Amino acid sequence: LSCSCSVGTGSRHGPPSQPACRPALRQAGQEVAGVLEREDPDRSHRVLLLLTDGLAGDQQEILRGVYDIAGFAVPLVGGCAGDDLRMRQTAQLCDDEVHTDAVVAAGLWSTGPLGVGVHHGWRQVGEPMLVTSSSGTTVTTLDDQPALDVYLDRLDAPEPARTDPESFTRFALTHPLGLRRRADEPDIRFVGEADFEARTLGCIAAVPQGGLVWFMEGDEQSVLEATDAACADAMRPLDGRPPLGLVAFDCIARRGVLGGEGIRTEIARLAALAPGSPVAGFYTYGEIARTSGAGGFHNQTLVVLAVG
Amino acid sequence: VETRIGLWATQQLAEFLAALFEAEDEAAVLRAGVERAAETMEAEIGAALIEGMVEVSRGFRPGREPITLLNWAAAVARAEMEVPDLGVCFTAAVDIERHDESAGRLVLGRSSTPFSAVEMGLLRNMARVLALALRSARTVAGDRLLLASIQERKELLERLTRIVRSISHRAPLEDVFDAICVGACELVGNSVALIRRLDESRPGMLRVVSSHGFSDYEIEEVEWLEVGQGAGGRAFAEERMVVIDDYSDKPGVVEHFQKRDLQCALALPVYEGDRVVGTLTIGSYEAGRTYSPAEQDAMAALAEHASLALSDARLLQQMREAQAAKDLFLAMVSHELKTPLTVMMGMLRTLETRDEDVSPEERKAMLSAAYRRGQELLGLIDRLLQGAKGELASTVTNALLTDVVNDALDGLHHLGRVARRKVAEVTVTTDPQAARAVLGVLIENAIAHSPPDTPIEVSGHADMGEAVLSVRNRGLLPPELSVTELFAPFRRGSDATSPGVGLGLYIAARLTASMGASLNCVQEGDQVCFRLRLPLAEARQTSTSA
Repeated sequence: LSCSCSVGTGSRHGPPSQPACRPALRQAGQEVAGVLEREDPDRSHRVLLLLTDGLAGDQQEILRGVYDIAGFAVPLVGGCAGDDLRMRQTAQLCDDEVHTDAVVAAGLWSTGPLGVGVHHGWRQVGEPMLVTSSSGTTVTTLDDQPALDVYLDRLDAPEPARTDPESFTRFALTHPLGLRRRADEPDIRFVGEADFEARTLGCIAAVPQGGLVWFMEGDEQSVLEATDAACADAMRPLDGRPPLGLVAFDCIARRGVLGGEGIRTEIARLAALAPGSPVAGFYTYGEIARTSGAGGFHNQTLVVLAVG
Repeated sequence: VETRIGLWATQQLAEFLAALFEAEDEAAVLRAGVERAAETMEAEIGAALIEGMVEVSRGFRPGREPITLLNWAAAVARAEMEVPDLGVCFTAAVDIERHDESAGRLVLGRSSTPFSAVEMGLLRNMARVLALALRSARTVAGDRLLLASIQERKELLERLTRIVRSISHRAPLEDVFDAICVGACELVGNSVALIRRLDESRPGMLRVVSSHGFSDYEIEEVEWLEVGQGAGGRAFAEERMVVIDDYSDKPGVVEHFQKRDLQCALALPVYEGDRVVGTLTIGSYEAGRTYSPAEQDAMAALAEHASLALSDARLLQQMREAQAAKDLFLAMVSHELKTPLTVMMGMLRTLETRDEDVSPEERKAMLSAAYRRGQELLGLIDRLLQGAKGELASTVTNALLTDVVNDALDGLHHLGRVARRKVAEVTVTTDPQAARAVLGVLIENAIAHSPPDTPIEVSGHADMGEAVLSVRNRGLLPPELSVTELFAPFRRGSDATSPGVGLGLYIAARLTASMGASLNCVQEGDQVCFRLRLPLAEARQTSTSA
C-alpha cells in the first residue's frame, strides 16, 4: 500500500449554502484529484480517499470536480470533517499542516483489492413533499410552506428544538430528509441547522428544487443492519480473504440513533465481520463512496473501506 | 408501481430542469445537462456528441475520450460495449435537437444494469429539456448582448451630453478636452487617451494638450509627435480614423509605446471648422485587446465633440476679442473725437468772449487751427463711416494707373517726403475712387510709421496681368503682429505714435477686396513695402472672354 496527499483550499467565497460557492468547491475537487497523476504499475488497485470541510457548502460539487479529473476509473471514499455538532469550523490535516475550509485527498495504491461499501438503514415516513423552493443546500419551502415550519410540525418536534439551534441540531440528527433516487435506497440529507428567522432548513449537501423528499426514521436495528450490509459490500471484492484492515466513515447522526450501547455493538459487529483485522474510523458530517455511477456523496450513512 | 415510476421520472426531470436553469450560458447548459443526466441515471460515462465530435464528456480523464467508441454507442438507442478500465458497459443514446440542424446525440453508459424503457423515456425527455434550455440560453445570450449594447449606447449618450453641456456652458477648453479623454477611457475600458494639437511654433509637430491614464513622466516622453508618425500622426496626415492592432509588430509607431508593450491604438482627426488641427488617440496595454466597431463608433462621436469644442472655443475667442476691440474702439473714438472738438470749442469760445483782446494775427492762427482740427475730425468721421460700410467699391471702370497715382498724391507734395517713382502707362479695371483711397491710406500709414525726413516712394509696374502699385517706407513691421493681423480692425503696432484707432489698413483691405484686387505687405531689408495689385484692363477682358 502506498499513499500520496494533496490539499485544495479557498472554497469559501461567501455563504457556503449559496450556489455562488460552487465553482470554488469544484475547483478544489479538481485540484486535489491531481494527486492521481502519479502512476504505480506495481499496485494496480487504487482509491482516492477524500477528507473535506463538512461546513464548506455543497459537497457533491467537490466530488464533481474530483470526477472531472479522476473519471470512472478511480473509486472514491471518505468523509466530511465535523466539529462535534457545534457547526462552526472544522479542520483538515495534510502532512504537518492544519487547514480549514479545505479538501485533503490521499491517493491509495495497493497490490491487493480495495472494497467500498455504503448503507444507511433509514426508512421513509409518511407522504412525500415537493421541494418548491431551494437554493444550494438551503431548503426554503416544502409544498409551498416554510420548510422549517413543515419540518417541525410534521415531526412534532419538541419545544426546545423550535427555538434553540443546538437543540434543533440534536433533534435533526435522527430526522434526516430522504431524496428519491434510482437506487433502492434514497439519498439522505442531514439537516444540520435551521434559520429561525427565515424559516429555512440548512443541509450538508444540495437539495434540488423540484425534487420529492420524505422525512426519514431509523432505529438501532435498522442502523445495525446497514452496518452489516456496508461491511459485506466492502469485503466482497476481497473474495473471502480477510482484509488487512477496515476504515469506517460513520455519520454522527447514526451515533444519535444508536446511543452509547449501540455504538459499542456496531464496533463489535464490524470487528466480527473482519476477525483479526484492525478497524479504524471516525464520525463525519457526510460520507463519500463512489464505486459506480457519477455521484458519490451520502448523508447519515456508514461507509466502509476494506483494504485487501 | 407505474405511479411510483412516473413520479420518480417526473421528479428527476424537475431536478434536471432546475439544474439547467442555474447554468449561465449555452456551454454551461450543455455541460450541466450531460453531468446531471449521468448522475440521475447513475451512469459512469456521459457525452454530448455534435456532428461526431465530443463537445462535453463525463467519466473520462480530460482529452482521453474514446471518440470512436462513443460514436459507435451514439449510433444506436441501446447497446452493450466494452470500455477500457470499466468493463462491460450498457449504453443509451438519444437525439439533442440543434438550432442549426447539426446532428447532436446524448450518450450515457453505466456498468450496473441496462437502461429500462422508462429510463429511455426519461432520457428522451431530458434531451428535449436540454434542447429547450440550450435555445433559451442562446436567446438570453442574444438579449444580454442587446442589453449590453443599449447600455453602452446609454453611457455614450450620457457622456456626450455632459461634454455638450460643458461646451455650451463655455467651460474652459482644457476642461472639455480632459472630460473627453476621461470619457474615452471609461467608455472603452482598460485604455489611455490623449488629445494632440498642431503646434504653430513647430510646424509639422503635434503637441499633447490633454491626457488621461499617463504619468507626468510619460507625457513628457510623448509630448511631441511628428505628423505622419504613430496612430495620431497618421490620423492627422490622412484625415481619417487609424486603428493599429498588434502595436508591437508595426513599423512607424511611437517607440515609447512600443517599448511598453502597447497592444493597440485608435486615433481620429480633430477639426477646427473644416481644418484638421489635432487628434484624439486611445490605446490599451491589455493583452490581445482590439477595438470593436461599436467602440470605434463611440470614439468617432467623441472626436466629433472635440472638434465641436475646438470650433466653438475659437468662435468664443473671436467674440471675446471683438468685444474687447469694440470696447477699446469706443474709448479711443470718444477720445479722438473729443480732442479736436475740445480744441475747436476752446478757440471759438475765446474768440466769442475775448474778441477785443485777440490780435488779427492770433485770430487768423486760431481760425486756421480750428479749421485744421475740423478737417481732422471730418477725416476721422469719414474713416469710421467707411469702415462700417459693407461693400465699398461700387463703380468699376477702366482707368490709367498714372491717374490713380497722381490723384492719390495730390495735396501731399507739400510734405516733401512722398516721392513719385516710375509708374507704368497701363490701364487698370477698378473703382478709381476706391483705389485712390487705398493708396491714400497706404501713404498715410507710411508717413505715420517711418522716421521723419525719410522718403516714401510710390511706384507702379505691370506684372503677370496685373498692375502693381508699391508704397515703400523705411521701418519695421511690428513683430507682435502677423500680416493678417496688420489688416485686422483696431490692431496697431505697439510703437505706433500717430493718432488713429487702427482702422486705416482694415479699411484699405476691405476696399481692396471689394474691387477684386489684392493687398499684401512685406519686410524688405530695412524697408516696409505694401503692394496693391489691380487687374489690368486687358487681362480682365481676356479672363472674361475665356
